Amino acid sequence: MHPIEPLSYVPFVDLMRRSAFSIADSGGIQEEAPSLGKPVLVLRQKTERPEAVEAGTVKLVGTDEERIVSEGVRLLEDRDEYIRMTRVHNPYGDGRACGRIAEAISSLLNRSTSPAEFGPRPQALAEMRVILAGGPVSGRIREAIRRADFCAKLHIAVSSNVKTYFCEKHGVQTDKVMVIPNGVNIAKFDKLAGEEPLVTRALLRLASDDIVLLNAASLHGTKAQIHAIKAFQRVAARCPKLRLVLLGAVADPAYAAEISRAIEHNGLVDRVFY
Amino acid sequence: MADCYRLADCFFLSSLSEEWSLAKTEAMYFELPLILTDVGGARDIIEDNDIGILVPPAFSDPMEVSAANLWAYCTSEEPRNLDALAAALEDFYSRPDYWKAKAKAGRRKVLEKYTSAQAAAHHRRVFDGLAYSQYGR
Repeated sequence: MHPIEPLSYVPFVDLMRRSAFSIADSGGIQEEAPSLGKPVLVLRQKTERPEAVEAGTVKLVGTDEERIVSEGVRLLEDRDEYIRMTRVHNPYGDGRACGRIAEAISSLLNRSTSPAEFGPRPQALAEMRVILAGGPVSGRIREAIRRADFCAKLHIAVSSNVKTYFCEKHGVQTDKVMVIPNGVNIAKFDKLAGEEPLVTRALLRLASDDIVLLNAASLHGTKAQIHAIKAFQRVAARCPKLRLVLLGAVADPAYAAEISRAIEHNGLVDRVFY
Repeated sequence: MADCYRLADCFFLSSLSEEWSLAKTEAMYFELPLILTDVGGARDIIEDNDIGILVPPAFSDPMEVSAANLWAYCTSEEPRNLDALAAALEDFYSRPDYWKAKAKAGRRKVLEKYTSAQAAAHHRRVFDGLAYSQYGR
């Protein structure tokens, strides 16, 4: 048994790929390991991912020592059982969602009858093509953007900063880029308006007169929560009622560990909640 | 999430990069003052520090943050904008009622411009316009 420090995402996935199976209580692993064809023994009585249990890629073994050992040994020794768990259908998809989305959009645009909610479809829509671009920019994507720009009539950017980026970094013409921001689904919030809150200040150990800063972002380097913690630490003595709540899914376990370390290192465990 | 927006006094992001950040738009709907780095949609929604404080991004070229340099950037104990981030926190702390009153305009902005229905309608108009070849001619 080798206890190790938290790994960043790709090395962790590689480790999972090279393992025979995983024993975990992590929710993410229950989704990811089946994608790699690896069984998971889940050390819980219940899981919020029942699809994987139903599909048979994941088995709930609880926290009883004997059961964990016997199920583990079974996977190692019973070849048929192991193969059965590795070959079943992965309920979380086959990694080809992007292609299907592109196909769906394309078929929508080329259909002779469009869905009712779209209203009457202009004939010219049949000639329209949509390219979805996003994510980190590698050399290959740079080339794709250059080609897309050559044939596109219009680019849609989600913010003016993204527009500036495409124009300055990729030479896209300013007048070909339109900014259309994302929008809030306000109906979702309005529906909850009258309901009793599940998360309260008391639950988070916050006083009613604390001044609470909320940082809601996935725990990932691009969100730079450590900069927020450092800024907080700078003003902590002068702002005694100030509190910081960091709220977000763990997108990078190594960065999440680094955030915990920064909170402790800066002596903020009573003031930064994570 | 709604509960968290309700219990907070201020929404604070120190991101190195964003595309838009829906969370900050949701925070606006809950009338929270914003302290945001100038990345993604921050400059589109904070105009002259009207509903919060816009802080310069940590690095001169936030869009060039890449897998190779991200770790060094995001763990830096001395980002370039640290003074500005700290000053924004102190400004907010010294007059929370002032900022809360200003932030009421955030909800109005969302209702005017940043609902998902408006975003969908906007795309629809653009697609229709393109389809009729009114665009780009």
